[in-house]
Amino acid sequence: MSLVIIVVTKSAGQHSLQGRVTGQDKHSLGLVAVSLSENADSSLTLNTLTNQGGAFRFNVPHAGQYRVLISALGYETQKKTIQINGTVDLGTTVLREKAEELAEVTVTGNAGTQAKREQPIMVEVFDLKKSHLKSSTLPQLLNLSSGIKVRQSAGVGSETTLNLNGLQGKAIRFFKDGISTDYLGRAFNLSLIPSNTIEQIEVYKGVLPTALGSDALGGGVNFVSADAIGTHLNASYGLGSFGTHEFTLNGRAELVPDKFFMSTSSYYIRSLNNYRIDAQVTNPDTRNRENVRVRRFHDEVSSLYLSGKVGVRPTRLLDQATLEVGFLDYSADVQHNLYMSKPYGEATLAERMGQANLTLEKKVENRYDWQLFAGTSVVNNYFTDTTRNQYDWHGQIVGVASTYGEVNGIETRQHLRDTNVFGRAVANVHLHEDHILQFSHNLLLKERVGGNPTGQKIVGTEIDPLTIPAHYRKNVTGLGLSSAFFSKKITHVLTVKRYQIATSGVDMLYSYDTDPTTSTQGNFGFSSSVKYQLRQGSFARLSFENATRIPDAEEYFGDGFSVRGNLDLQPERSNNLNANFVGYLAKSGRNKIDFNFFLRDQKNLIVLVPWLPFGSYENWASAKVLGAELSNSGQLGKHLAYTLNLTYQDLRRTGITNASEKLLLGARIPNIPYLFGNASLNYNRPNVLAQGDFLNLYFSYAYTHDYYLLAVPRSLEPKNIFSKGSIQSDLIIPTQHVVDGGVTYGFAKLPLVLNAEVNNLLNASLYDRFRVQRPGTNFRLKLTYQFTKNNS
Amino acid sequence: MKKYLLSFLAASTLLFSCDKSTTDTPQPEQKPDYAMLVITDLSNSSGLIFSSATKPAGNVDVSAVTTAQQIFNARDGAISFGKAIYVGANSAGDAGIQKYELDASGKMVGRGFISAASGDYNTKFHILSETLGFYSDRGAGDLKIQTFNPTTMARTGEIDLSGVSKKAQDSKIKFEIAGGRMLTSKEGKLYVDIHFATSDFGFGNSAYDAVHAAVIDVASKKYEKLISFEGAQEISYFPISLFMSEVDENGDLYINTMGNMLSDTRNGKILRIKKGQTEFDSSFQLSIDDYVSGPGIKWFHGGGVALGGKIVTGIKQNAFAPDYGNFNEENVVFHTIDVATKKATPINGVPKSDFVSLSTPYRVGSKVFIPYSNAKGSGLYLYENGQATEQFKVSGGVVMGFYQLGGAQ
Repeated sequence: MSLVIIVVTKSAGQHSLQGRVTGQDKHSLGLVAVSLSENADSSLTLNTLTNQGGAFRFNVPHAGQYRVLISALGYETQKKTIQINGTVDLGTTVLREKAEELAEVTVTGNAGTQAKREQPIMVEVFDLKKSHLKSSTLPQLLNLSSGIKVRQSAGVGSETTLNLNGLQGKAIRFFKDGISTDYLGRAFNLSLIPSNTIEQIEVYKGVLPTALGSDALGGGVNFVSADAIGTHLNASYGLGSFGTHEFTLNGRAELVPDKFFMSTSSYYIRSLNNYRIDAQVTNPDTRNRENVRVRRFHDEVSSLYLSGKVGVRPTRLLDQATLEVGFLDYSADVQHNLYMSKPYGEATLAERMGQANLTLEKKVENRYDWQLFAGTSVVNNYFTDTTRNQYDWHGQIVGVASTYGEVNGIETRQHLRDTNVFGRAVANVHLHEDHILQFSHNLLLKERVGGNPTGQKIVGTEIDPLTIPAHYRKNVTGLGLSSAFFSKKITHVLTVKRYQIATSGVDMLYSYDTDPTTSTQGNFGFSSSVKYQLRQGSFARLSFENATRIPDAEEYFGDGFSVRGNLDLQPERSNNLNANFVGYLAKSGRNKIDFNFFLRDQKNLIVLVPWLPFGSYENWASAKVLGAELSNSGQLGKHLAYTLNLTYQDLRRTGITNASEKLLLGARIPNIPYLFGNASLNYNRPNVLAQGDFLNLYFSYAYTHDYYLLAVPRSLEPKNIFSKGSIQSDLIIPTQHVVDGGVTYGFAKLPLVLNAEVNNLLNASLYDRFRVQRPGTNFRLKLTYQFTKNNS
Repeated sequence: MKKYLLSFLAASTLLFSCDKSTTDTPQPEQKPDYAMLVITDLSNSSGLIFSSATKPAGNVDVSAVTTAQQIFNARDGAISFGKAIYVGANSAGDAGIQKYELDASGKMVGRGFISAASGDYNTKFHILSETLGFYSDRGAGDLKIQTFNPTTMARTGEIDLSGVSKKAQDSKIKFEIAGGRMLTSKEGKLYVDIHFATSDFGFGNSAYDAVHAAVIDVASKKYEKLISFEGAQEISYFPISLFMSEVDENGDLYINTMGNMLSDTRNGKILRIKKGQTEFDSSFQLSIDDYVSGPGIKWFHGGGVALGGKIVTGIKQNAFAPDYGNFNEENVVFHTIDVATKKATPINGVPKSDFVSLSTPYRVGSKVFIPYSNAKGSGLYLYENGQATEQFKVSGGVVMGFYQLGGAQ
C-alpha cells in the first residue's frame, strides 16, 4: 500500500475533486471504489465509483484536507492525502495488480469487471484490455469460456453463430454500448471486428438487464466500446496468413481538458482467405467426384469502419453529451453454397452503412441518473450475381450455364436499403439506499425498400415487390427494481418488459397485391434474479426469465427469393432458469470455481420449412435444454495461470403432437454442439530484458465433440459420448481439437507491444459447419503502438 | 492443485455415463429383400432409407431400425431398379444420382454418385436398363440430356436436343429446358419434356398454353421430333416421388400436367400417349377443374398411374391458396378415375392425406401402392382388384416409398 501526499490549492467558490484510475497497462479501470474523507471530520465521507472511462468526481462541501482511498478487487489499494480548495484534478492514479490475483487469463479481471460479474443477473464479462495486444479474434477469445460456443463458417469475415447456454441464432441479441446493433449492419460482425475496438464484452446468460431493451429469447451480448478519458492513442497493424491485414486506430484527445474531447475507434481489415481445403472436383466425363486439396479462390473480404465522436462535459444540465458518426464499407466475395458442394467465382456482397447518434447523460450521485440515446442509420446492401460461368474448385471456368446467376440460377442485382431510427431512454432512480427503480424504453423504426430489376414481379404486374417499402416498428419498455437486503447479503433484480411490434409490407417473394399487409403484436415478459453472498468472492445466484422473441422482418415478409412471408407467425417464447455458484476451492482464493446449471423451456420456435413450391418460416417446434457448465481457474506458481472450462447441454425436442413428427420426440436438436470444453495456460513474466518489460506466453486447447447436422430419433443416437449411433450418416460435424499459442512482449521504454500467434498448431481439419472447412495452421503478427498523455 | 484438477475431471466425467449395455448393432441373419424411404424430419425433409429382411406389415417401428442410412433430402423420393435404390441427390443433398445398395451386413450404403453440374436440389432421371439411364442436368446445357450407366454409376454421354429450339423465332421465350420435369420411355422411345419459358423462375412461366415433349429414339439416341398438346401447361413437377408420368399395363403413357401453378388461368390436366403412338392423344384429357369446383390453383396429386383402365390419383378437395399457404391441409382424397367415362370414385379405406410428403400413388406390376400421411400417422396402402388394403403404418415419420429389391412386390 502506498501513501502519497499531494497539496493543491486553487480558486474559491465550489470545491470538487476529480481524477482517473488506470491499471499498469494504462487502460482505464471502471467501477473502482473511491472514498473521500475529511481529515478534520471523519463523519464526512463520500463514496463513488469510477465510470467506464476510469473517471471519478466529487463535489466537496468545503475546502480542507481530505484522504482519498482508491480500492478494487485484485489491486493494491492506494491512499492519498490531498488539500482541496476549488477544483482539484488528482490526475491519473495507477493501480498495481496483486500478484495472487493474476489467475484469470483470457477473462482478465479488474474491479469494474468483477463488479459486473457479481450482479444478480448472470453475466460473463470479457475484459479485452489485455487481449488488445494479441492477434486473437473475438470468436477465439469467446470460445475460451464456458457455456459459449462461437461457430464460424470459414475464414476472416465469414458468418458466425453464437451459441449461448443452448440457444443460438436469432435467440441471442447483440448490443453496442447497450444499444441494439440492429441499426449498424455488419459493423459489429463478430468475425470482423478487431478486439482493439472493444473494451469489454458482456455476455448475459438468460436474463437481460432492464436497460438492454430487446426481445431476446436466451440472452444477449453487449459490446462495450473503449471510452477511457484523457488523451491517448492505440494503433495496431496485424499481418496474417492468407493475405490478412488489419489496421486499428483508437484514440481520444482532450481538446479542452475535462470540457471537450474528440475520439475515434476505427478499423480496416482485409483478407484473401485463400487457405487450403479438402474439396471434391467432378470429372467432366464421368461426373464422378475426386478428392483434391485446393485453395479457396474467391473469398476476399474487406471491411472499413470509421467512427468519430465529439463530446462535451460537464455542462450545467448534463454530465456529458456526445455526438458520434460512423461509416462502414464492406465487401465480400461469395465462395460457395451452404455445404461447399459448389464453388462460385464471381458473386459478391457489399454493404455501405452510415450512422449518427447523440447521447445525453446525467448522474446525481445516490439520487438518479439517466441517459438518452437517439440514432439513425442508412444501411445499403448489395448482392450481385450475374455470371453464367461455372467454376470448379481449381478456380477454373468449366462451363457456361444457360442462366445468369451462379448462386441461385437467377440473375440478381439486388439492392436493399434499410433506413433505421433508434431511440433509447434509460433512467435509474434511487428510491432508497438499497432500492433502485430502473426504467428503459427502446424504439426501432425500420424502413426497407430496394429493388432487383431481374427479380420476380408481383403477379400480373411489372412491379418489383422490393420497391414497395416494408415498415417495421418495435417498442420495448422495461421497468425494474433492484434491491438489496440484509446488508447487501441478498440482492435482487425484478424486471418486467413489454414488447410491441407493428409491421407493414408485401410478401417480398411472391405477392398478388401491391397494398401492404399490416400486423401488430405485443407481449409481456418478466424476470427475477437473486444473489446470495456467501462470503467475499463467493456467492450463489438464481434467475428466471419468461422471455419473448418477436419474429424479424425477413420471417414476416420473406426474402424475396425462395421464402414466402408469413404474417401469422407468433413470437417465440422461452422460460429460462439459471442457477449459479461461484467460489474458491482454497482459502488462498487462488483457485476459482464457477458452476452454472441452466434450463430452457422453449415454445413456438420458428424454423424455415421447405414447403412446395416455396419455403416459409413456421412456428414449428418446442424444445427443452438442460445444461451445465463448469469452470475452474487459478494460479500454478507465481507466473503461470490456467483455466479449464467444460460445457454439456442436452437439447431435446418436446411437445410433438403430429404423428408424422413423433419419431423426433426427445431427439437431440441437431447442428448445435452439445459437449465442448477448453483449457488454457498463460505465463506472465515481468522485467525480462529490462525493468518494466513484460512477456506473456499463452497456449490454449479447445475440444468440441462431434454432432449431427440433422435430427436423428433418440433411440438411434449414440448411447454415450464413446459410442456410435445405430445409424449410418455422413451428415456429421466431426470432433475437433484446436490448439493455439502465442507470445506477446511489451517494452517499458518503447510504446510498442509485439505479438506473434500460431493458430491450429496441429493443422487439424476443422469444421464448425457441415463440410465447410476452416483454416489449417496459420500465423499472425501484430504490432501495437500505445500512447497515453499523463495529466497528473 | 492436483486435488482440484482431479475433482474437476471427476465432476466432468460424471456428466457422461457410459452405457455398458451398448453393444454393436446385431447383424441381420439374412440378406434383406425390402427397403423403405421415410421422412423423419418434416422441417427439412431429411429422412432414412433402410432395409428389412421381412416384408413390412402392421406397425413398423422406424426408431428401432439398425440398417438405416440418413439422407438429407427424403422428400423427393427414390426408385428401385434391380437390387439398388436410386435417389436424385446424395446423402448430403448434392444434386446428382446416388445409388444405394446393401452391404454385406445388410445395411444401406452409398455405391456411386454422379454429380450434376446444376445447382438444382434434385436431379430428374430415368433408368431403362442395367446399363442405360438418362438424366437432366441444366448445368451441362438446357437442351441436352445426359446418359449414364446405372451399374458403374458413370456418365456415358449426352443427347443434343437443340433441334427443338424456338427461341430464334419467338422473342418471348427466354429459356428452353429439356427434361427438368419428365423423362420416361415407351416402346423404344424416350419422352423428354421441353419447357419453353418466359423467365427462369421455376414455374408459372410457360410461353405457350401448350406442353411439349421431345421424342428420342433410344437405340440410336437421336432426337426425332417435338410433340405438343394445346390447352395444358407445365408437364409434371420436379420430385421423383410425384410419379407424374408412367406407362400403364396396357402400354399407354399417362402424363400429369400441373397447369400454370401461379394462377388459375390454366389448371392441371392428365394427358395420354397411347400404345403404338408417339403423339399426344388429342381426344383424351382429364381436367382437375371437372373434379374440384370453384376458382383457384388446382392440380392432380399424381396421375401418371393407371391400372385396369383407371387412373389412381389424389384430389385435393379445394384449390390452393395463391401462395400455397394451405398446401398441407389434410384434404387430399385418393380416387380412381375411369379413363373411359371420366368418373371419379373415392377409394374406400384409404385415409385422407395432407400431402406434406409430396408422394403420390405408384405402380409396380399389377399393383398400385398409395402412400399417405396425416395427423394420425403415415403408411402405405395397396390398391389391387378394385380394393385398397393397408400394408403397414410407420411409428413416426412419413412413408415416401417401399421397395422390393430385385423383384416384384
